[in-house]
Amino acid sequence: MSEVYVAGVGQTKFGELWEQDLRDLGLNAAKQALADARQEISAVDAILVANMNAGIFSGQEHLGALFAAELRTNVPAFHIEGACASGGLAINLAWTMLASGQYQNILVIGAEKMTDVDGAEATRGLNSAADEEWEGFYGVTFPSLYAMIAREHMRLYGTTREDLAAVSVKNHANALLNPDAQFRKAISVAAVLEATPVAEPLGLLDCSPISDGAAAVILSTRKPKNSSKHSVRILASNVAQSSLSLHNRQEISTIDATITAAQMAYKAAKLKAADIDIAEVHDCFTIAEILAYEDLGFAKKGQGVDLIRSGATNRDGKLPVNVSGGLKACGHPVGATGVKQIVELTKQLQGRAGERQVQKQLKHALAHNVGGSGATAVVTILALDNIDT
Amino acid sequence: MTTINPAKAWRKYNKRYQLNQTAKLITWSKVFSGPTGFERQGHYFVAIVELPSGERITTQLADVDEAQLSHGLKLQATLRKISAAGADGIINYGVKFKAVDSKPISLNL
Amino acid sequence: MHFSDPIGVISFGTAIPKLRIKTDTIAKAWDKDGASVMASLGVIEKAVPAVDEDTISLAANASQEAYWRLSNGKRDVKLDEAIGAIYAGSESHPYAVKSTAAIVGEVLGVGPRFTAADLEFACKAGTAAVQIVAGLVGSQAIEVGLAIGADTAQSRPGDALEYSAGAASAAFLVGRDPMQVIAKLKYSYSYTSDTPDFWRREHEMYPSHGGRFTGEPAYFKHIFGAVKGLLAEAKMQISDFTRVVLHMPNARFPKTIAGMLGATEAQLAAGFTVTMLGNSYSACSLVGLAATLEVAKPGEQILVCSYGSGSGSDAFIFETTKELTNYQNNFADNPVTNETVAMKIAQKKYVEYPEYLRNLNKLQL
Repeated sequence: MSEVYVAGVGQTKFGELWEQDLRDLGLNAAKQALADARQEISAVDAILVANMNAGIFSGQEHLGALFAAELRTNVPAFHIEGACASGGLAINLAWTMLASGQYQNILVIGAEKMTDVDGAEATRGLNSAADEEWEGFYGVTFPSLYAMIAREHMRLYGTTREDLAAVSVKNHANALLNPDAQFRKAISVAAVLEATPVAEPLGLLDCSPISDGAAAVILSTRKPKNSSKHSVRILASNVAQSSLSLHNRQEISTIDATITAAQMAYKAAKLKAADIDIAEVHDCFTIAEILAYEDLGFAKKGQGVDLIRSGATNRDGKLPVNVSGGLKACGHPVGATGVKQIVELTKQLQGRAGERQVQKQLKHALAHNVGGSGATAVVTILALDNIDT
Repeated sequence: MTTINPAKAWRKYNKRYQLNQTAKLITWSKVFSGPTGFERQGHYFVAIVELPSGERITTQLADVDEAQLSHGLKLQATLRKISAAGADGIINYGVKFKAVDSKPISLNL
Repeated sequence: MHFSDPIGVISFGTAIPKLRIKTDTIAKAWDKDGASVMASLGVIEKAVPAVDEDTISLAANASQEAYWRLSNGKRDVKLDEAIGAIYAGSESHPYAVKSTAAIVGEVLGVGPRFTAADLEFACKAGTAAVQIVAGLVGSQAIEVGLAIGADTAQSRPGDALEYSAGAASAAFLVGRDPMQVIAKLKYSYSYTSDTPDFWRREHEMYPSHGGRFTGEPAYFKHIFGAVKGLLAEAKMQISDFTRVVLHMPNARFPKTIAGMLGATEAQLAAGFTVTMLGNSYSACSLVGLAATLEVAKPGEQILVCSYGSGSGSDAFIFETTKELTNYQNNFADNPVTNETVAMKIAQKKYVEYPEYLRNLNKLQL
């Protein structure tokens, strides 16, 4: 099995990007990643494009072909879709393809253009991540699915709306330092509690936004020659599934797919949860971040709130989570998120995250990407190679 | 304007119309912004309920008295409109659940 | 029309929306004095369909209740096979083309071996359904038939009709098994003419009406004609009846005609649902009959007379049987079937005028 390195990264701003379409966004990020890797497109031997809804939002499918053509290459190109886990799945597949030895240098682009349709249509597009026949038919929305999860978590463990709000406050504070973030505005717990209700008990500020954006990475079996940065390796990447519908989930307030994927990844990387120094987790809604703390093993089930209450997951805490601003404040262009997480963690590990750079020593990073209400989970563990290792 | 053939909903009528169900309320959410087809209903309540068989399904609650909502609330099925594919499209009916009236029976003969 | 023994009602059910709007609320929206409107019409509040209720959902729920009251809340394959016809009468069928009755049949799980069609005759389409189904049962063409009256009545905002146009459904299973018949249908007499008192053209949202013309030459003439004809045919007098159920466009008209016919308020009481429900059009007199059968005893004579604008009245004589008491006790035992009309009327939640307009889609969204 070959080692897999992150050779280059790139990301567009996330937000309402009226002047850019899906093509522009993906190309923008891809070119940044190629430049960061100091590669020409001819060095790439496959392209994976992560995107959820281009069909519904732009009437465009066949994205592998689209980006290969735009990049003027005819290497194999694939469109990967797993709802909000599309990015993580693309990373996972690229890693698998490279580890197998069949490919040496893969460009992964995650991109999403969500603002060319109205709110109700965007909601409908996102609903295709749920069970359309048995959940969507009844008018569920993603906020309402996670709201139902939140209600159960609150009932079982005493989690409060204030706990959820603290997640949003933290991620907004982090995004203040991220020039690519969609929202660069501090908010308060009170603001979150008073925000427009979306699906009780979640309000507008508990929910990640509709966003345009793209991120890209080059993954390679060749150790990057650039000696000004330590190299970042993918130690493990694992995917697990669970029921598509929330009603068939074993436990409504647990994303068992995350637990499974994380356990497999820790095992493969020969690490424990306590070894993780920094993480980007899937905070599509505030409750999802609390669940992530528990399901990733950072806290016991029902005790995820302890981490947010104590400040342990703040940027200057013991385990910084979502320093990029997370999905909530950095934005959530669906297909881009899982790739952006790798971009962010790579920059943090390599000490080039600018103003938001976490100050403590970082060795192991974890990216957590979820599809639907927990049907798919991808956990990827990265490590920074020391020069003398 | 309808774009999806009514056959898609038709093939599920059998499963979607089964009224003879009582259920237990597991969790729910009051939805303020619905997807396309649900925008003009005002707020509505989605819920996960548990049938006597142990099977859980996603549904909506009908005739809601918010003060009554709690985990374990006894519910019974009622047929309701779910959505319609526009003013000229087929109307989708399905089963929603309302609280079983707990008032004692009096026939007043 | 004379029906042979023992054709009659074997089960019935109703569906009444939970929401209500007060006459006073509507009056205030139009700068009218609620108290005078109430004094004039006698309607205090009326039922309002929720945003997810329509004539089809009301018809299906009422029919399901009728079915379950007979089957003790369970699937009954024999009953499925016995039901040979479903007729649904309404003036607010959700589809101009696509049968309400067929959808109800699908929801109940009967069929495919049954005939179905929808009826319209203003507020008497439900009772017309009862006559058709009784005819099919009586001629032994079918074993059991389902007759439904259901409406989510339309009324132009600001028009006098708005105070009384309500919503509900009543469903009656009619059969000929003497072990099942709880109210024998003995006679029916209809009185029909072309009287343009109230109408709605195709594609129009709201009905139009002739104001005071809807009174004496319309409602009163046809009910009087039907009841007089019925009594003559049956050789009975009004005092023979324990209960009298009349179509109730408001609270005043039925009391007035009752007086003209010699019927007392006591006879009207059990079926007099308009005060707190409004006029549920095709369901109106059938809901009144259901309310009556929920409290009646065996051996009672019940007179029912509907009125549908356009115009016509269908009058009926029912005689309750000893099976009625068992039937009442049975359905009272099951929480899924035990809600009587009286209980449904009491189960309510008020809405304000804007929510009422939205639910009835009067804003043409």
